[in-house]
Amino acid sequence: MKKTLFLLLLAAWLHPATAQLTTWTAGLGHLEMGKQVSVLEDPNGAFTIESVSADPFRFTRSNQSILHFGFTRSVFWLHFTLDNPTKDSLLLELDHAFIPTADLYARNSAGRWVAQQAGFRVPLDRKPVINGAQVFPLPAGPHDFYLRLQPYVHAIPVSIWEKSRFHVQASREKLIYGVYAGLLLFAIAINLFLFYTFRRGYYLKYSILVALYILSSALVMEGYAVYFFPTIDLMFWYRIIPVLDMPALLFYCLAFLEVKRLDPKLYRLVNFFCFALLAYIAALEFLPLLPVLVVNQVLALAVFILAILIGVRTGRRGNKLGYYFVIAYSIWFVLIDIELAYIQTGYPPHPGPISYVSLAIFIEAFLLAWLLIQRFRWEKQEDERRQVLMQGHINKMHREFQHAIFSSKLEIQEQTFQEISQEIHDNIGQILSLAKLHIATMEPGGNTVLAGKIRESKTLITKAIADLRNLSHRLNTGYINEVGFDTAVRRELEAIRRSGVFETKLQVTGTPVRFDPQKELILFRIVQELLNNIIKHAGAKTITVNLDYDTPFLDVAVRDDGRGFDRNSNGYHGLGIKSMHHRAGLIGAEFHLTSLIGSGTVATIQLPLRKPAELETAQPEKNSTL
Amino acid sequence: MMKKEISVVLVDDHINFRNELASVIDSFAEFVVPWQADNGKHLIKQLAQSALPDIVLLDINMPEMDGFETAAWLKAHHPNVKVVAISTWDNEKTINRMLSLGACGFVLKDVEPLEIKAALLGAAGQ
Repeated sequence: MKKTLFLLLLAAWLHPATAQLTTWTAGLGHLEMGKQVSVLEDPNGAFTIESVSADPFRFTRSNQSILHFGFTRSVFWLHFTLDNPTKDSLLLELDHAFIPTADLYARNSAGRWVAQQAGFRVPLDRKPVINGAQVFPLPAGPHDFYLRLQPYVHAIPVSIWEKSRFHVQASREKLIYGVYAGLLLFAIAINLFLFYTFRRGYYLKYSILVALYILSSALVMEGYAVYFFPTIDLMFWYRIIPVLDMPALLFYCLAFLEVKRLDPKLYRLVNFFCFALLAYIAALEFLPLLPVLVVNQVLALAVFILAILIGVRTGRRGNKLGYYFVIAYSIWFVLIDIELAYIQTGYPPHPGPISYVSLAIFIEAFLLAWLLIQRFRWEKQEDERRQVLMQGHINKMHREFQHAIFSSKLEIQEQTFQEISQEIHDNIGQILSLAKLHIATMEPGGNTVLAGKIRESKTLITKAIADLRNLSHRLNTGYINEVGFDTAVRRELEAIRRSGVFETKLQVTGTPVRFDPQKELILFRIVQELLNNIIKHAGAKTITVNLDYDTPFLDVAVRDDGRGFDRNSNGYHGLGIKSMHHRAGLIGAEFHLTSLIGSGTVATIQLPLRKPAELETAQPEKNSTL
Repeated sequence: MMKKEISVVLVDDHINFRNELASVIDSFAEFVVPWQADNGKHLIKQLAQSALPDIVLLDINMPEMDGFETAAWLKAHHPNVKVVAISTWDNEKTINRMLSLGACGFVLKDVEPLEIKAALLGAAGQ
């Protein structure tokens, strides 16, 4: 009883409010009506204008500056009383494209209720005012207005405009959206161009993603599609296109962040999720509208959380770009939450003509574009680094290859020398020794001529044996390694001098030291070849060899006073100078050859006797003690 | 008359040269060559069946058992047998090694017969 009384009192208190008169004043331009209307819910859509207008007490004051009803299938009736005593032409705007039906009722001069019909179910060209939102012209003078509409999920700003003000504002809004879409299309065009140029899949995926973004924001959520397709069923597309964004976004994430390589498990999981989403989209047509709209919102949040997760995981596994993704999607996530809050509470109002989702899409598109540029730069740097590395590898392989070739050449040469040396020692030497023994035991029997010949033969054979012994020694690797480089050179020069054709000089500075046997051998072979060249080609009288052990290097100079040669002449290449160069390089030595026609030839070889590292560290040590 | 002849065994794988040298040495009144061997192993085998020689004239480069091994064996088993090394030509290292293994002389193969005689006599006199 008490309760009924209270309700009656409440209704009495509310009654003046529902009947509250809003008066338009000249020059006002724009009036927000959110708090000026009363609201009645019609859960089954069964009410008529007669039934609701007969009992205005059932309405309650809205108290919302932007009307919002949450997720609902109910029909809502709005009621307000407006007096327009001025000459201004007025328009009522429900600023949303996503209202399927909106009927404005007012009494005509005959006192009968007349309805004007808007909402996206009415083709654009048959709306009372041609606009994506729902706009109605309002008659002059005082009138009671009733508005029947189905809001579904969206918050609806309700306002009254002076006609010309409205058209200016509406045009500006379209223009701003045009610029918005234009910028996104520009981003798409550039990335398509980049895809065409660099053939990287993620440029194409980016373009597809941003194209879907434009579709869902500009065409569907903001309702601009009605300008292109006047009879489009916005609700149908509203269920599908924003959901298509989700797998597109995730596929892009996977490609751009190289998730397959960095985190195969996550890659499989997200892929599975994407295909589940696609299956869900295919089934949308058969699912009830309201739960779908709720599920879509939840899925959107889930996708952003997943994108952030992918960003963090790949960031941790070495792809720095992952963290930038986290930032991009965190911004998204916050803006989507604000949008959801707006849908549920009408607060905070949209910043200008762009919804939070559209704003998020815009920021997202350009953040992603910026990331693509960053990525391109990093990839280029990485490519350059790799190229330098590769070139280094190739050079090193080339050097090693050359080294291997020369090493094996020298090895074969050395083996051949060894075999010849052995052959002389074991075979020819034995035979000559035997021959000499025979001759030694010959009895000339008083024949002086024969005795002379025998003596002569013995001398010749002795000389042949001595020469062969020399040759065998020169060719014998073991022998050279045993006596050492300097002694081997000395003996070589002695052998040449004994031939009687050349004068030879050896000058040794510093104390001869032994070094790596392999290097000694190669160095000696180079000197041998230089000496052979002089003997065969130079026409020299004197051969001078200098060995200088005084520095950390062994300096070898082989000099002759022969006719010299021209580097460009044909004979030059036969001298094996290139091979000597290579062989010197093989033991880390510098080889130089200078020749002047008429002034002889000088060949110098500089071999570091200590390792390069020791040479380098030796210097500072010396300085520090000073 | 000379006292008992000095026995010299030649060990060398170059059979022609060895035979020739053996005949040269045999031609000297002071020496006799009772037998010869192709290498160290052959020598050891024959030593088991024959009287010990006074001198072994030992080549260095031989297959199966070379001069170094043979000299070492002789030093260990028959220290009284004198070893004279003979070689085509070899370096200081080889000669020193042979001497350290107990050889008491070294001659080159292109040596004069008289020098051989002197070297062998020198070895026998030690």
